[in-house]
Amino acid sequence: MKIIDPALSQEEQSTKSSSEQSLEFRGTAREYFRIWIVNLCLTLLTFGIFSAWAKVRKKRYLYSQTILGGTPFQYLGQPIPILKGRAIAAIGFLIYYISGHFFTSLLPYVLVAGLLAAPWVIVRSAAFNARYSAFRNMTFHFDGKYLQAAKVLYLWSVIPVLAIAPVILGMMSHQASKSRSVVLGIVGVTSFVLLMLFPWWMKRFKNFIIQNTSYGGRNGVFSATGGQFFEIYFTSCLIMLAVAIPTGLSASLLFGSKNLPSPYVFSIPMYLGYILAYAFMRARSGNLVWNHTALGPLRFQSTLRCGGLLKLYFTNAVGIVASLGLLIPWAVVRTVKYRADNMRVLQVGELTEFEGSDLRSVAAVGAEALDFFDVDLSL
Amino acid sequence: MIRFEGYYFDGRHPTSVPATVDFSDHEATLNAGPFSECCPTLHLKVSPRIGSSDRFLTFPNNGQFACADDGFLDSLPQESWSEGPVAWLERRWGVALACVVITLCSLLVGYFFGLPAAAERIAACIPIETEQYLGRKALAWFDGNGWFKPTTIDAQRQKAIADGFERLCSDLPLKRYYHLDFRSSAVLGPNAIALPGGIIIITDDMVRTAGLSGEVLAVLAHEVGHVELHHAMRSVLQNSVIGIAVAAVTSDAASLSVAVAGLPVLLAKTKYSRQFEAAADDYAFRLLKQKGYSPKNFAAVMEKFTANDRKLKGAFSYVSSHPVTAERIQRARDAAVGWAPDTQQPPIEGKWLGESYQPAAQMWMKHLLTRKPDGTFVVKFRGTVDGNTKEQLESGRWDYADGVIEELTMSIDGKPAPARDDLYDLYKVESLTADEMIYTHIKSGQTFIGNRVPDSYELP
Repeated sequence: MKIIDPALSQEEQSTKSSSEQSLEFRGTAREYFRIWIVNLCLTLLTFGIFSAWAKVRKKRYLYSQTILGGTPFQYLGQPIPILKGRAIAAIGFLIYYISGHFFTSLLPYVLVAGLLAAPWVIVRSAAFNARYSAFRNMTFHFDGKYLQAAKVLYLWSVIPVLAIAPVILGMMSHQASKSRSVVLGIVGVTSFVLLMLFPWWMKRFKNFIIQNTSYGGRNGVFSATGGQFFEIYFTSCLIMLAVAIPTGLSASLLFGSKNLPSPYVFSIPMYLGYILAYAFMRARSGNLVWNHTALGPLRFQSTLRCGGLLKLYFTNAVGIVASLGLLIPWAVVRTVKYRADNMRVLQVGELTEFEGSDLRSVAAVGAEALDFFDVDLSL
Repeated sequence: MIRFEGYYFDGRHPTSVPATVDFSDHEATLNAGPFSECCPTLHLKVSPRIGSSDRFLTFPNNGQFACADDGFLDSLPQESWSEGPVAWLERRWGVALACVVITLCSLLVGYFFGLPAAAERIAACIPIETEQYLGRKALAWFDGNGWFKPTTIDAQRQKAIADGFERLCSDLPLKRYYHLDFRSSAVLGPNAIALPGGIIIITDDMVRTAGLSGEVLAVLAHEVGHVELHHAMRSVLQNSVIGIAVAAVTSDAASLSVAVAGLPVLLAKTKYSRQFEAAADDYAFRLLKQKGYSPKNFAAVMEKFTANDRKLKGAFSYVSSHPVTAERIQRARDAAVGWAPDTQQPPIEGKWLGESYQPAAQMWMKHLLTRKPDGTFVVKFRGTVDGNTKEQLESGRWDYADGVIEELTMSIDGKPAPARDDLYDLYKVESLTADEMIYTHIKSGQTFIGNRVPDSYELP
């Protein structure tokens, strides 16, 4: 199940200097286990303060064991900005939690503030991740701006709703129906519209992230279409339905509608159906995104399989539960390794197309500059 | 002189050039193809050790040299001083094993002792006024969102329960904050809930299920336990911390498998919630006994629940937030063992004879009440009108608590009395002297006066 963009393979043939860069993950569960448990232990003993260091240590390991063309990636993030980011996130969450549980009258304001902050959070964390990821002594960059992010997040979800809501309102008010059914109708139709628009929203979001990420002065190029995303999400929904409908039918046939033994019995096949749909969605959308991404002379070929991911999720879950969580590092290493094994990096030009500039302080030491707004908000 | 072999990256192009670095005294000499540089070792920066990964040496010109890890590199200036000791710990299996033990112990100790104790302290510091504000908000929310509807319990019965509740709370530290409200709720069914700040809501279904006032008070005493022990605030605090702790431990696994993070949170919260219920039960048993009610009342209500709701039995009650019902009934019975009501009230014992107009039979009837110390009673009614003599025999069991006689079982002419809502035979003893007892049937307001007669007395 290799999905190769026709345009990409043509380009591949026309360029003589086409070659493949090897990508591998060399990390081992044994080594990562020690890193994981030491950092987890210190995090618990310091009531979470060490978690910023723990994040740096774990990311450092996973990056530095991912080796492209013989050279490991580098994670250059520093604990202090991460700690600041976590403190900000914790305060934000606390405000949300308190307003949600106790001062419900404040909740609308808090939610609006959250909507306003969301583009900023996305831009800051993408910028942090890019800036502190390096390959061969050159860091990545992310140039997305707040307004762009806000447009991507909200414009195409707000406009259709604003356009449709009055129409429904008009239609419903003709019928002398209760206000409750009007509200239900509006909620139903708008959520259906939003659901249908989601693949295109996703496409714009991925496009925003990839086009604004650059390495050596070359920005990413993203060529997937919303229709391709739609196909994947639609098939996932069909998988869910294909499991849910027979389950529901057999339940009512076996037990009748009155004396169902317990909802838990039926949640097991439903849950398996959900996992299947999820694995399918992850595999296909991962392949779609990578296979339609180009970075300078680099092309990517992702060959994730739904079956492979399903097996991985299932064995990981069984392992983690059976070991009371001690196999978490093993599961992480396997997952990263599976991803790396199913990724090919093709080179259709010279790597010298990438050029670092001194202006951008590309060198790794640049990462030591810690200004106040240099916070990591990705948790 | 020590030589390292590796690769050089100039920071301007992503190409790797095979290179060597020679260290001599305090100087490092880099040779990368045509490029070479020499600098004091003090000007180098070495990336932290992580596992068996390659290390990176940054030169003053911002060029980087990558090579395999080596102990010598630790003697050079480090990029991050704080990560060295962590890397030292991460290399050792002994340390990893110790960390497993420490992590497990701190999680268990925190879960069983640390967190409940901390939450108890913090909850005790929250002013009751704040809690009351939250409680009123919550009640307004329940009322406004269709959870609660106005009660259909008649005012007389409400008054009887409210009076009992007031007696129950009369000696408690938070007594002036208590507020009892009746609501009908299709969603909650037979239930009582304690909102923060002493606001207690009892549903109509619960009043009807519990029937006798002693049983209603047993349920209310349980809710009083929740209030006095600050359970509302404590559960918010404890559940939040549990959520955060589980997220911290499983943060790496959360993206891998959805089921992994949810399950431990659910289990941990269920356990806490059951501990709260058990603590509120114990509190209720003590309070009931102190106020002259038997904890058996609590067992009686729980038994009615079990009879009504078979679903509570079976495998899934383990996941329920309340301790298994049979266990609670047994503990209520155990609490009642050896307990006898405070006998400050004179015992009603012996025979009383009176005469009163019976509206049901539309005639004046004599009534002879016989009560034994074990609580069983027999009343003989006899009346004659137009030459017809009518007789009725009522028997059953009365318990006498806090001025109120409660009827636990009753039969009329040997047949069980019909279970009707308006048949709550709560009596209030107005006065009791050596030869006269005046008691009122609360529901109908009818007053009976009985004169003591010898134990051998029978109606002629």
